[in-house]
Amino acid sequence: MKRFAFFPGCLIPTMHPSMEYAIRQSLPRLGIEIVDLDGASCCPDPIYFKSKDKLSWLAVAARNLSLAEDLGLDVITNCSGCTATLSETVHLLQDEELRKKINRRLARIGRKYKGKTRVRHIATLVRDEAGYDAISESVVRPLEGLKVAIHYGCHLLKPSSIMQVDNPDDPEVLERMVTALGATPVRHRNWYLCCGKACQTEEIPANMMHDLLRTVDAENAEILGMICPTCFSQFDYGQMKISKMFEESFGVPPVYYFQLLAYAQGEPYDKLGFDRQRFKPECLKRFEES
Amino acid sequence: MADDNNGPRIGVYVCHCGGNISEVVDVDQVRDFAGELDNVVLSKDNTHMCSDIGQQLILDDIKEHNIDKVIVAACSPQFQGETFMDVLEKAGLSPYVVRMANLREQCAWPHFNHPDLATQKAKVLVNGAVANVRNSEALERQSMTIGKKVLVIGGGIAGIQASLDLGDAGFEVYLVEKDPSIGGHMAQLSRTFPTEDCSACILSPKMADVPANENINLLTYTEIDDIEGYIGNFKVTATKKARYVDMDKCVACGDCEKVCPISVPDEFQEGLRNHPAIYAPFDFAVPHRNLIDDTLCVRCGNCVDACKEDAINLDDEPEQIEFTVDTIIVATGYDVFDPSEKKVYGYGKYKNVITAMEMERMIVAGAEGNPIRNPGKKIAFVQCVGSRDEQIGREYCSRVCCMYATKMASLLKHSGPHRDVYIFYTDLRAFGKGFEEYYKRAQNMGVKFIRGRVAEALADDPEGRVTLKVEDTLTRRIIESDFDTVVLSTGIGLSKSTDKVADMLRLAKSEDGFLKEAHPKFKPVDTNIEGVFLAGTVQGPKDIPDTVAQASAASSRAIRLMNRGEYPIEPIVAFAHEEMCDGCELCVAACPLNAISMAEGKAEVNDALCLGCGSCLSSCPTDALDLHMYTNTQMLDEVTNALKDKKEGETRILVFADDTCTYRLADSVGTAKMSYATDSVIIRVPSGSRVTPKLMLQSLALGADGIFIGECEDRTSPFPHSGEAIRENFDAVTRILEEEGVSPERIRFVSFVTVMLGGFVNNVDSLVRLAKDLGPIPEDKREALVKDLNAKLFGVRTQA
Amino acid sequence: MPSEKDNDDVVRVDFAFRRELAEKVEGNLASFCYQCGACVGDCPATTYSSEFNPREIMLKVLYGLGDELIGGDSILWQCVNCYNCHERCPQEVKPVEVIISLKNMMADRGIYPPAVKKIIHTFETTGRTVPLSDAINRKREKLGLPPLEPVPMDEIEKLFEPLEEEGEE
Repeated sequence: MKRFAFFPGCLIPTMHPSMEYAIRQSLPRLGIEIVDLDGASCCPDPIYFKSKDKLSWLAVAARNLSLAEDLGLDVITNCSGCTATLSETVHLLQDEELRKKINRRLARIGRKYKGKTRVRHIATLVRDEAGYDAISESVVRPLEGLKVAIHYGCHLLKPSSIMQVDNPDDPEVLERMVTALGATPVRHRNWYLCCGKACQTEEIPANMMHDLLRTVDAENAEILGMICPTCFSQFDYGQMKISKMFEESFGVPPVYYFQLLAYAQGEPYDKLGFDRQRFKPECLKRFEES
Repeated sequence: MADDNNGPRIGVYVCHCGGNISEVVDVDQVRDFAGELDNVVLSKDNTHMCSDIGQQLILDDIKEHNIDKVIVAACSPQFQGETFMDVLEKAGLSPYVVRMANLREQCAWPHFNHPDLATQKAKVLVNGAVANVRNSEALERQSMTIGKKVLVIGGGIAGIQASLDLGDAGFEVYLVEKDPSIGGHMAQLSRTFPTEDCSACILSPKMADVPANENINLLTYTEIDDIEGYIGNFKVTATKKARYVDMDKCVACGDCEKVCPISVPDEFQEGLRNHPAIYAPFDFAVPHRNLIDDTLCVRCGNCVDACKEDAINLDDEPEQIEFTVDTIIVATGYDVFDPSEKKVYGYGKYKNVITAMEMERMIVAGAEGNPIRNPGKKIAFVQCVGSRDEQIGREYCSRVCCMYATKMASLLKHSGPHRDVYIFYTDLRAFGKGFEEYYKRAQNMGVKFIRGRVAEALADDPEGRVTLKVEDTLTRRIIESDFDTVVLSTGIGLSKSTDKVADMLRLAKSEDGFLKEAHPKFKPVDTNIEGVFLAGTVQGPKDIPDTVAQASAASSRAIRLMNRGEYPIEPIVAFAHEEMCDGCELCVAACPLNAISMAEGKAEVNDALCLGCGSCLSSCPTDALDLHMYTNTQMLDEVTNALKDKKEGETRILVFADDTCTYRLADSVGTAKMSYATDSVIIRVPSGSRVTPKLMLQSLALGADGIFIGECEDRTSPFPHSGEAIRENFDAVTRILEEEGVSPERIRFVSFVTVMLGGFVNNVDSLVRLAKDLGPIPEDKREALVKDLNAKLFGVRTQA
Repeated sequence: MPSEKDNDDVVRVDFAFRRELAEKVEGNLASFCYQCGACVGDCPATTYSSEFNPREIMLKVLYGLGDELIGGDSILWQCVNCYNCHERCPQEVKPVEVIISLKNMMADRGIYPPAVKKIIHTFETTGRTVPLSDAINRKREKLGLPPLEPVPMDEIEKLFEPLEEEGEE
């Protein structure tokens, strides 16, 4: 078993514990052991707090990374936002002067960031450490015929020079991970659009999601697969708002990939919290009977 | 004034530089100070030493006062060094017994705010220069014999032009081309901008002239394996690849092509058409003979049977050839940027996204009445693909794309006026003769020029129309539009095959990855290696007229060296004091150019190979190796005098500045009037690797509070491996400093490019600050540093 | 691109604004912008709001038109932080980071949209963007997940203060 320091972030452990449950169930089946990271704070988020004070943002992120350094482990994240913050911090703190500056702040609490830890989103971790075949092998309930539209979101892939996960203009990692579950990935025309969470106006995210949901619907996708809890809430709670605003109903349930994985690995539908969603992926239930 | 008898008689001339110096530095004080120095016979000042009057002053004094060594305290030797060398030569003295103390760039300009300190420093510089010149050797300008043979590498338009010029002038040319035909990229083009001449039509007569020229040995389908030696004596080994077709018998009738079972994409046609394994390169190829591509042939023998001339020999072997030449012209050209690297444009994924070169071939085929495919009605050119893009490490402009896109757009519009042709550009660069007019004509024809860099190309159907997303930055309008064909205006970069040649000849590269010229303004076709010249795009992107001009320039520079039958060589080379050499051979391994060998147990330097970096000196445990112009004695004297008057409480660091980068950089800093600590003395060296560990330790022992060595970055340095040599020297000195309890922070090595003005200032200032913080090195430690120095540096070996 | 506020043709560059921006982490990158517009074609915010244009924001930065960028109803909050511009920029200007530096300047002046202010406040007081509650830990317990512990705020708060040489004390 390969061990990694688990950085769950804010949204998943508090708002979506069933996602965390799914992760904790599914990763060991792929040979990955999770080690809890005591004392961690918010990453901090790459949208709000970074916009207030980028230096303090770096300092707090460096503190989180230093906790993992103490354990001598690489960090794994389950949210694109945390991935972005921590990866960018690693990247920026390669600059010696900036690192010195941040370390002088960390010295106040007796910590030091050494630049020894890597940060990886669990999606890329599973790809690189376990491989697509291992995912397939762990599946006991193949999701054959399930049409999954893919939503990559932004921060898993971009900036590609920092994230180095996949080609941001034509990625394949999530498609292949969905395929590994036996399901059929659907690339819809607006796949590259963003969930719009960071944007502080009503119209832009609403129109963007509207366009996005329309093309997903047009492809007859049954669910919208994603790997970020922020995107998830935009497409769950947000989809309701959009439906009202445009007086159009789409009914494409968003599903967090690792819940789908856990489900394919045999976890029962009820334990994965699907029923708590505003748009419930009831289409999944058909695999339970077989 | 010391006017004694047997020693050298030095004349010092302090220049006002029309006020540039005298408005800051107290010239009178410096003149009087110099007059008091040992061996200085006279000391004068003048408003313009470089003027005729100034030069005459020196000439007269040499005559009247028997001056035999000269110091000109004026500007940088980079500007006027040659002038005063010529003056001495004119007077019958060795041109190598004059030194310049750089009062303008190193005192008056950077320290203009501190006239007193600038004057003080001027004296230090003059004192150092006098010490250096006192023991200077009366070297003579030397020359070597040279023949009239030239190797031209690359048979594109640059190589063709250079070869024809040289051949016409009566020089013997070996023109080596790796492909089966000469012609290069120009042979592939439809027409040339801005005149719209048919490219093949104007090129093919020139190509035909090459084999017709009795002085040109044309070696096509030939790869260079190795080049050894130096100017006047380059030994070339090359391999003529097997053609499997007898060039004398083949008439290129094409019968063999019809029976060949193989069909592969034709490179000349950018893969848009196929050719068999036995083929002629293209219809105006020179030599126009068929050949078999060995990697494709299945040895079926069909062609052997079909050939009426009995020209095919399937057992043909490659042939290795050797010849010597006196000079070399590198004309290995460019490769087109591979746009699949820019994934956003979908090249390779979408059928209708093509490169500019593919479009060239499509236009040619269309004009010949044998179209490859129809580009459709709506066509876009996407500019700057592989140019001006830091993401892919190509910061430079490729210079030809704006105009070739304009050309092809005009041609497409001309052959199909109904077409909509767009050019999406970043900035439109129409700088050449007739370019702006051509651009305007294209606009008038209806070609739509839109200022905006294309963000992305998308297509639902990989075979279908392609959507481009781009902002028209002049109207702020977002365009999202479909096109039948999207042409990527790919930039150009150094050809891959050049790397091997550059390595063999040890040619330097500039930041953009192209080969580097010796001087960007005055030696644009020379290289860091004497006798090797550049022609065409190997030196940087350029269009056909510029390439041809440069090729003619390169041949004329080569002729300049060869025409007299002898050429001058710099006497700044290493040499061995024979009586001191104990034959240990350490220097043989130390020389990166293999210029040192052993002759009868003593080190011997090959003057023609030695570039004079001085890095071998550090390897010599007996001080037998030395460097003309920068001898051990001269360097130690200069350092001693530069530190002589340092008073208690003063700080002084020595900046050993390599001639190529750091010294010029310091000049630029001075010219920009950027100030830095006056507690620094710049000492000119050919390369930082000339500064031996011994010299560093001696400098510290003599009172230097810090030592700073500046050197060109490896890739731009004229001296290969100098950086590595300096680092080794630093390791040795650091070890000794640590042993003696002296902070190794006092020595610093920085690689520079000549544009890092701020970097120079910061490094000098911070080292001075550090030296001040550390305080002087205590007397006892200074003594300890140089005690048993040889044993410290070379261990027990010397005792044996 | 003349400022709307200046009626004459001359653009008066506000260098104080540019200097302040350059002090921010990656705040000076706009200097390298050559206005090619590659950032615009793929910008989702531009697609849905014609007033938002990253190239124009960089141009206003170059001109030092601070007043048009930072303020109560700043256009910058329309940015979706998707990094498409960052991917496209041939000069490695990182427009998102320049925008974030500008937002840092707004924060220095106490200007935030209400929703943003609330989340930042939650983070600064609890160390999380979602505050902890008993209900959350009960939910976790049901799933067999370990309870969440409070974030050691004494440590986090110490990281917020600027260093002396950062010039803010």
